[in-house]
Amino acid sequence: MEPASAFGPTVEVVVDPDVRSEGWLSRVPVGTRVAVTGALGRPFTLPRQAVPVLMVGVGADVSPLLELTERLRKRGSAVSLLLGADDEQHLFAAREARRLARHLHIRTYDGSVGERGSVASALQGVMAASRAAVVYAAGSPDLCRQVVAVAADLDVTSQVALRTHLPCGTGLCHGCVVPVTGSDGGTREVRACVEGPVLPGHRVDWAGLCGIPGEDGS
Amino acid sequence: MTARAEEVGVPGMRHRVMVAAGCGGTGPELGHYTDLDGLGFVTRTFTRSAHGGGSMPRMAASPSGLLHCVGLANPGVEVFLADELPWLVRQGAHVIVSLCASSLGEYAEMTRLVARAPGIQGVEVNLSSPDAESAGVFDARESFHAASVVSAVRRELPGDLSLWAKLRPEPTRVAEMAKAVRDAGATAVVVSNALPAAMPDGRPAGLSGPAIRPVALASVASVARTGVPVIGCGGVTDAEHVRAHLGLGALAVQVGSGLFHNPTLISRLVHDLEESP
Repeated sequence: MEPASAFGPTVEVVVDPDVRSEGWLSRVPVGTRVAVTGALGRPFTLPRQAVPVLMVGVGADVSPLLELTERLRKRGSAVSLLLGADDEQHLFAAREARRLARHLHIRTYDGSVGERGSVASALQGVMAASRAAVVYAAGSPDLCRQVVAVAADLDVTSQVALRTHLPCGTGLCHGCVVPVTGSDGGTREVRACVEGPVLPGHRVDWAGLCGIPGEDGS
Repeated sequence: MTARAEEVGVPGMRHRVMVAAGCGGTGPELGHYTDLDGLGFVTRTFTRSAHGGGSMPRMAASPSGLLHCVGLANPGVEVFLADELPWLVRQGAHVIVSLCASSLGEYAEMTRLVARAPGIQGVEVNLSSPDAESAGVFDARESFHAASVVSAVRRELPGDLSLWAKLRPEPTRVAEMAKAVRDAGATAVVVSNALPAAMPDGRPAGLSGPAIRPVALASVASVARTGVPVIGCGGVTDAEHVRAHLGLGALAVQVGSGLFHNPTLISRLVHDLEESP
């Protein structure tokens, strides 16, 4: 949400034109009225002090991290960004990221921008170098799982915005459950749309979510 | 338009539209969008103990419809009574608890628990969940078994509480089953549940939404001809669809998966039906 842009208060929505459930929005003519329900779910929480932070995201999943970067930067945090994509065409908002971030690391599979390789393989080095006290990740369960694992190794707090199926988005359908571990050690299911999409990294039962038998996900 | 509420056993229910089982979250989620005061609210289906439900993905799009295999995910009826019911009652919702059990004895046991809870208006027995096999539910595909469930629940349920039986969308057979459950003590039947279907990966699922509205309407018409009080359910996304159900003899109408698309749907239906019944 931009409270004061040239158009008055605006909401930026990022959609992938190739995904059926969201791509239709990119083909709606300019000026069309579209009913929107929101904002929904729980957002990222901000650290109380201006500690260094790291953001990790791939492709269009980076979108929620940019607004967060802007806010944390204004509060005096040194923000490092680790962004990835298949190629330059799928790299989201690299120019804006360059403007906002103290340190920007880019990985593409074809090496067209930044270094060739995956975000996952760069996690350990970038996270250690960033001296981050908090890591924010947005993306697939598998990416978030890897970010949380590296963060746990380095004793860094993590928050993840999980990309999951959200059939209704409002909490009515019980179709977006994520397994979490309670403080009592028991596993239960929460709805990503109500208690998420942002969850503390250590709360998620990653082995259950990613379907990894016999692994505790840490 | 006021409810002919006494005919379905829920006096004071303010509207002829209500929330269908499994489509109103735990209550507060819908309360953001719709005033629950005086609204009929059928809960998601509860089992005796907590049940994990189906694996993900639990929903998939289908032409004009929604495939779902939530699989009766729920925390168990006692957790509902302790943690969720009091909020609903405080809002003034007319709460009908949807139940599903593994045996007649378990139906009776659950009904005893529910009957003691303050604020309950009735029970809806879910005799037709298409994706509930993993929950080990009592098989009520035959009229005799459906009637046995209704008798078991009726015996434990105070006479002033209504008892609804939610049946499958089977226009050719539903009248026979409706009469059987009415004779066993059901106040009304709800037609209908989701159509048995398969997820794209083959898992058992239910098909809901506008795709099955014609089947639900045929089921309503079939039951209405028998004189058994009937509540329509299936594919309602605007007031015209409510009128279609009512026109075929439904006394009230449940709104289900349409709420996933538009959580304000019930408010809009109430408004539109008041403007032009």
